[in-house]
Amino acid sequence: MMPWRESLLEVSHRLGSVLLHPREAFEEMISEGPRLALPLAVCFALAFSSGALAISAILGLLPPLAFLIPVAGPAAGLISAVLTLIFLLLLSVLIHANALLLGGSGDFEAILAVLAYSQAPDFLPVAALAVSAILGGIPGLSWFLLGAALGLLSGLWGLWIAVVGTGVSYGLSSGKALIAAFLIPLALFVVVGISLGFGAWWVVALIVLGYAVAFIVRERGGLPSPEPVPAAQVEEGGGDEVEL
Amino acid sequence: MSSEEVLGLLVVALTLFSLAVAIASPAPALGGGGAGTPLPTPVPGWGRRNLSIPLLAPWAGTRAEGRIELGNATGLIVDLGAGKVTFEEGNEARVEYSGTGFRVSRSPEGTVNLSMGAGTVRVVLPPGAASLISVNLSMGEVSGRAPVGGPASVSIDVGMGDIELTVVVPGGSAVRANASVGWGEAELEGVNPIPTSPGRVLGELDGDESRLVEIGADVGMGSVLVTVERG
Repeated sequence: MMPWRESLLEVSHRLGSVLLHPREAFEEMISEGPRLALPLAVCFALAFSSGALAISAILGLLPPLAFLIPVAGPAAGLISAVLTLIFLLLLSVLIHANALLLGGSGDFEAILAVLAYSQAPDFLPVAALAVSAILGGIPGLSWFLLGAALGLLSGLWGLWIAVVGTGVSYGLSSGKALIAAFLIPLALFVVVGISLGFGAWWVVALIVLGYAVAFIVRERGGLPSPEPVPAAQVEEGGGDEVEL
Repeated sequence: MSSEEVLGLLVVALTLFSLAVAIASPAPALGGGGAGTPLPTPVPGWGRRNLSIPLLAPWAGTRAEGRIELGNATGLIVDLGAGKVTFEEGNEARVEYSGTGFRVSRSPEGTVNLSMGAGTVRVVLPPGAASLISVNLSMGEVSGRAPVGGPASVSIDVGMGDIELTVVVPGGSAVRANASVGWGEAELEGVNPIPTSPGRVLGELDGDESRLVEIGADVGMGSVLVTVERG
């Protein structure tokens, strides 16, 4: 088999496995050591495309502003890609801290890879946006709306991948993984968003301080400390959750 | 081939497709529009143009200023990202420019093609010399008095900004003028108006068809005022 074909099939297998069987895929990833190139490339491509296409599709529906597409398209794509990567980094830090505080143990690179992979389901809404940009007008609008609907589906799909990946990466139960990867970040984003809306920057400082105190308490034995995940449990994997 | 590989290939294919469309960013197909409704001109996507010009040119390249003698050239094409283009009547044909990303070329047919990222362009033309004037400006202003010969074609296309131009045509020549705006006001003066739809004004002057002067002025968002004067 041609080398490029082997590489393509390997990449396809990896992506397909993450989308269909994230637990097995992430267990394999952890045992091999996380590689960031593929998930970050997919994440960057999808974020760039979604930003550029969304703006192109919206401006395409407003003929007087359509001339802005040449500048607004690439600018929105780049901004979207950069913001997505920054958001992924911040979210990875947050989930990493949550997972450690909840008694998990794992690498930062692994959760970054997991979160980047969790953007992969966006290929559906982004492809719909691409068709919308090609068609324009009323047909384009229907594809744009379809893309928005698929965005909800891909969001849930991505959340499932992120929660399962967090559980596997840190050896947490599904419940704890859901708390670490979704509930706490959601609550913090709501609180921080509202606080910043009122100009209350001190709330952010308070949250950071809270995490620092929690880590100090954990170091002194007040919270569950991390334990290495037994290799046998990781390898066995299957559908079982690993509770430490 | 396993189901994972099939799904993965689908993800790869659709991601590459989306990326290609995003980079090519096709012209919106502005469908619909019943009879009598003018369709806005589709806008070429940014990927179809030279990527370096619309995106980077206004901020790229070193600043330059100078003067080009048009000599016997009968056509002038100005492609400017952002800035101002002014026309004046004078004794000799020349272009004075100041800005970034400057490029100039001459075609064998006698047309000078001037391209700049951002800056100002001042065009001085003697009466009756120019047979082709074309200005493509993304953002800015086109103004002044532009004398042309007959037959001649004047085409001014501005994305966002204003056109306030007086076109001086040879006495006795026929004139057909067309001013349109996507969002704003369009006016034609000095010609007999032909009723049309909002945002678009047509006008004409009877005369020698063999010395026909065609004028087109189009603005995406802004205003258009074209005045036609017989020389």
